[in-house]
Amino acid sequence: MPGIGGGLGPGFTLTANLHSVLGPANAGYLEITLCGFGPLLPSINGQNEMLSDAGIPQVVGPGPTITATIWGNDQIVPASTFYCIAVMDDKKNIVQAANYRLAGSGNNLAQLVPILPPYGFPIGDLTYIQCTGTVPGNTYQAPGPIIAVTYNGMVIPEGTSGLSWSRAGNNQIVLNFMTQPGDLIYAFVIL
Amino acid sequence: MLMYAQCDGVVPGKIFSAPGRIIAVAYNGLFLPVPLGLINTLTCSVAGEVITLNFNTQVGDRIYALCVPY
Repeated sequence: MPGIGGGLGPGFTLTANLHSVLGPANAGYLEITLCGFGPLLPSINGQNEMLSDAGIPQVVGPGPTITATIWGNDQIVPASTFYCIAVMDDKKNIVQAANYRLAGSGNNLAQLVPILPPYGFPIGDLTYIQCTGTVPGNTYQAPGPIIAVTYNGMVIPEGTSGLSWSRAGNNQIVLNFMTQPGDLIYAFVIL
Repeated sequence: MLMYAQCDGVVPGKIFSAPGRIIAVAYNGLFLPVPLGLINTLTCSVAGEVITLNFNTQVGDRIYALCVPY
């Protein structure tokens, strides 16, 4: 299937059959949102096509039978993307939503297994970055929530003794020692 | 999946490859950059899964990366 730039088109056909809990087929919609690309601009792998509506919910329907052909996550870079798919009623109230990594040629929503974020944040958002602060000093600022801190490349623990650090304020690191000229304070943070 | 994995490359050498998108690189257990006094710093540049060190590894050195497999 030709794509925007003349390359391959969306490769995953998502289908859904909506029914009432009382049995009969039911009207409704799906809301499909590409997620998990973090600070990177998502694009189609190997093609000159950017996904300019990534992160914006796309509503398809109404049902009861819905078919949507979309880019599979295995066609998209970065590789960390996934879709949040919500089932909505005929008034577009969200009934439930889950995250899915869509790969291959297609499947029915009822057959897909949701993915559970193991870290509580999109893994593509984890970054190792230098923290700002005065040298010599003991207070440093990270650009996001802190996972771990390194001192000259060595991971140091949270604590109050030895080479350690504690949290203070908004994404702030307070070392229990003073840095010296040349020292580097980095942190694993969520951006 | 986040993993801490050994990188492939020739030792001695500067070029290594990780099994996924790199978040941070460790040289003998220390995450780069690592300062050596006031002037020299062990650093690396990263492009995708490829690491280029600004120094040559020696026999016995280990390059690991915190990375997300493709």
